Amino acid sequence: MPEPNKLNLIEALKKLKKGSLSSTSLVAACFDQIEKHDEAIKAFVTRTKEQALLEAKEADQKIAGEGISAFEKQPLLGIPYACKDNFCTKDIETTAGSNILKGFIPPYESTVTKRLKASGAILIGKTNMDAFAHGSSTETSDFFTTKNPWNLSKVPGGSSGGSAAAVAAHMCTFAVGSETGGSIRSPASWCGVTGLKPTYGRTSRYGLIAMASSTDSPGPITKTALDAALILENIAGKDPYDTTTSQQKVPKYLKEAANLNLKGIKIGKPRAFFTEDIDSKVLNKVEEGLKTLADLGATIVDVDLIQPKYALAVYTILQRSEVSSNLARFDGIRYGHTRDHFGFEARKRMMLGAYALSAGYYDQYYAKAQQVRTKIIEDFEKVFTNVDVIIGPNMPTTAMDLGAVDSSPLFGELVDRLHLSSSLAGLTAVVIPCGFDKGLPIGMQMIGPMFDEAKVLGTAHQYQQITNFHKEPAPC
Amino acid sequence: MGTKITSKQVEKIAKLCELTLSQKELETFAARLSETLNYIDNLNELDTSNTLPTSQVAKLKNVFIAADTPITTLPIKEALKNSKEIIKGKFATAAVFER
Repeated sequence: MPEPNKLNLIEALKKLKKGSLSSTSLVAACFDQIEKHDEAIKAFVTRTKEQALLEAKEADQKIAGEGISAFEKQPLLGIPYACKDNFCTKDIETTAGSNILKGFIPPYESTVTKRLKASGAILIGKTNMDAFAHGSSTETSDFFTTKNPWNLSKVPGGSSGGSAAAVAAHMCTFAVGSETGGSIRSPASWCGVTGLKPTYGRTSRYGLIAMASSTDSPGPITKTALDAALILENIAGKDPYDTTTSQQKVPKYLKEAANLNLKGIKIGKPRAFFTEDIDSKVLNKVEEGLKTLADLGATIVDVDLIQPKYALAVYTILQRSEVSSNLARFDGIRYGHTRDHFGFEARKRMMLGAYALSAGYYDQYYAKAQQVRTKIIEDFEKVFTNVDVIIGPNMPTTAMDLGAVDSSPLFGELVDRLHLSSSLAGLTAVVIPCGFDKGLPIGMQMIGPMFDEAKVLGTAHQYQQITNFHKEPAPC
Repeated sequence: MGTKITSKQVEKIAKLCELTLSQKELETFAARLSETLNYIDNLNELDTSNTLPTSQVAKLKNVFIAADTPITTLPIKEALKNSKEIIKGKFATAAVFER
């Protein structure tokens, strides 16, 4: 039997239900792994071992007392997870990777972590991230850089880098992250795990430290597509504390994804994503992935989308503008330290946003960007009248060397350029591993229309049924 | 080429953002912000004369919390927990008119 921490969510639940594994030994195995490897990987900023072991003991007692019916009430009972440090966790330090929030103890719980707790999942720690989620390498964390478990001289991607690294290094059964413009998909790709960016409004932003409120989407980082479906089922849905959450009913994602038949599924292959500025090894593996899906019965057609460079401009303007507004609330009065504790990246983003929103420039930048955003949304709507899912590469290369963030003033947006249009349009997308180059994972993204998570997860699941890339263990 | 932001403009923006920057930082940010603007100055290539701006991506309108939805608020003690200075059970701020 593999070590318990290496089981995926569905496997671990099966064993917990059968009684062949206890939550206590599962949680303990995760901490053993953390204690063995996190000094090198640095995925966690806070560990909650004592509380986690206590909750594991309670979960074991519930399972012993109620048997399998305990899982009907709490579908994730006894499962350990890691949480990105921008979700407020009551009485547990929450920093968003920033010095200004160092020492901040939230007096309330975010909806996502509250729902996970209600589902029986056990928080084992908070993970490192680019400060305020401003970045794509986890190097702009005000504390330290997280390393890629596949190669410690590489970055894990970001901003949910700690969460993806923790899953890849089998330090937890699953993790949660948040995405504004690639922050789940980027680290999932570079760490060789599955990452789901839900539709905007599918998961609640309440208690998530805001980056850009019009695109922020919390989502799971897991070992398989079905694991992500089960987590989504437990965290999605209307939340009175976040008025942008949708009233739409939460489907049985696990069942729907597991039962999807690829025969009859039409996949769009966007020409604008298969260009020569994307590493040829990455393109080859994604092409092979598409061929596998065609062999499974899907139809592949070429589609045209607006060039990523326009989404990059729109995203940069809107995100900076929203950042300048959201970070204005940090005044050092009610919580956190004074504004001189902001790092370089946060200051840079706030100032660009304030510039774009200021009198005389508003129409040129912000208003224009919101108009082009409409064009991007319409562009996707048109393509989705003809195809079910859009599939392409997501990162232009495999994981970059440490120090990547210094390579460009727009490093994050440039490496995330294939994520930005779908984020701006509020769409859902999943990233799964589809191959390796020199020992580093390559990801493939599947983008779906708003609220069609079941279809992208089902497509990813069918692919994972006949491939083993997601089962390859990182060397630790 | 492209739009350039001057140190003088950065000084003004920094003030709007309540940030204090040294002379050297003003110059660094002027250069970095100008570089960023070069990447985003391409939107005029697209005709948007007949396009409405997006205001909400999920097209939601007028969402209100139902009057009968129970909403928990924080007790004063909890709300003040992370504050450094409290006067008579309230947040203490710097005097506004002395700024």
